[in-house]
Amino acid sequence: MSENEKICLGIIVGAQGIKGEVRIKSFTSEIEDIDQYGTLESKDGSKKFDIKILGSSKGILRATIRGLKDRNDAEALAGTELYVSKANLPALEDEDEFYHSDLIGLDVKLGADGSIVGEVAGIYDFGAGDVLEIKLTNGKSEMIPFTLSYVPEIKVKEGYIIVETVLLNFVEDFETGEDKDEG
Amino acid sequence: MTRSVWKGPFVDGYLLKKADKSKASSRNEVIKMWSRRSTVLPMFVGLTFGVHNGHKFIPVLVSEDMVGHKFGEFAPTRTYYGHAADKKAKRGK
Repeated sequence: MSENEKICLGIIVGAQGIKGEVRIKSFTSEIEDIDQYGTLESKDGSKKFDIKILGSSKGILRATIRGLKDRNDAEALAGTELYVSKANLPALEDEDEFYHSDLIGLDVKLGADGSIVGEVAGIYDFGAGDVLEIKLTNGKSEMIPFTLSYVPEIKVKEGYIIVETVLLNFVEDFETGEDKDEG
Repeated sequence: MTRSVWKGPFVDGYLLKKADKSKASSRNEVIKMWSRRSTVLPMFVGLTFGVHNGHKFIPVLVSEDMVGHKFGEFAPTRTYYGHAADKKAKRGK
C-alpha cells in the first residue's frame, strides 16, 4: 500500500436534529478517534470535513461539520464516506505490529519455494489472537494464526508475506494422514 | 441456569486424548475439533485448536483468560468483515 492511498474511517449515515448535526458510523478501533488523524475528506478528495464530535449513542457518533447550517445540508451528506490519507496514521513502534490496511492485499508466498499461493484477504480477532484469512489462487480461503511460526516474514513495502504453510498442521495429518475423529 | 458444580466442566472425551497427544509432541500442531460445546480447561492453555465454525477450522490459541469459556465462543459462525480503518494486528510469538 502506498503512503498516498486513503483509508476509510467512517460514513455519514444521516442527519441529527434540525441544526445541521450529522450521525457518523465510525470504523476506527475507538469510535471517538475518527477525528484524530487530520481533516477528513471524501473519497475523491473534493470535499473536506472539519468535524467536531458531540457525543455517541449505540455506537453511532453525533457530530457537527463546519459549514452545515440546517438539516437539509446534513441530509445531503448521508452516505458520504470519510477518508484520510494513509500517511496520517501514526507510525507503529513495535516491529511485530501492523495496520490491517497494510496487510490486506499483500501476496502470500510459501517459505519453501517462494511461489505465490494467494493474498491476504482479512485479519480477524475472535478473542483468541489474530488470525489471517488467505484467499488462495484456487478460489478457496484458509485461516492461519498470525504468529511467528506460521508467518515468519512480513515485507509490507515489497508487497508480500512469507508463510510456512497455508494449511493448519493438524495432529492427525502428521501422524497418519487421516482423521479419526468421532466429532 | 448454571451447571451444577458437582458435575464439573463438560469436555468431550476425545478432546482430552488429543490434547495429551499434542502436549507429548513438541511440534507446532493444531488440534482439529468440532466440539464447540466443550469447556476450555486449564490443561489446554498454550495449545492451538482448530475449532470448526460449520465452514472451516478457525485457529484458537488457548490463553489463561479463556479458561471456563466454551470453544465455540472463539469461532464465530457468522463473520462481519468490517473496515480496516486504523485497526492494528500484532504478530504472536
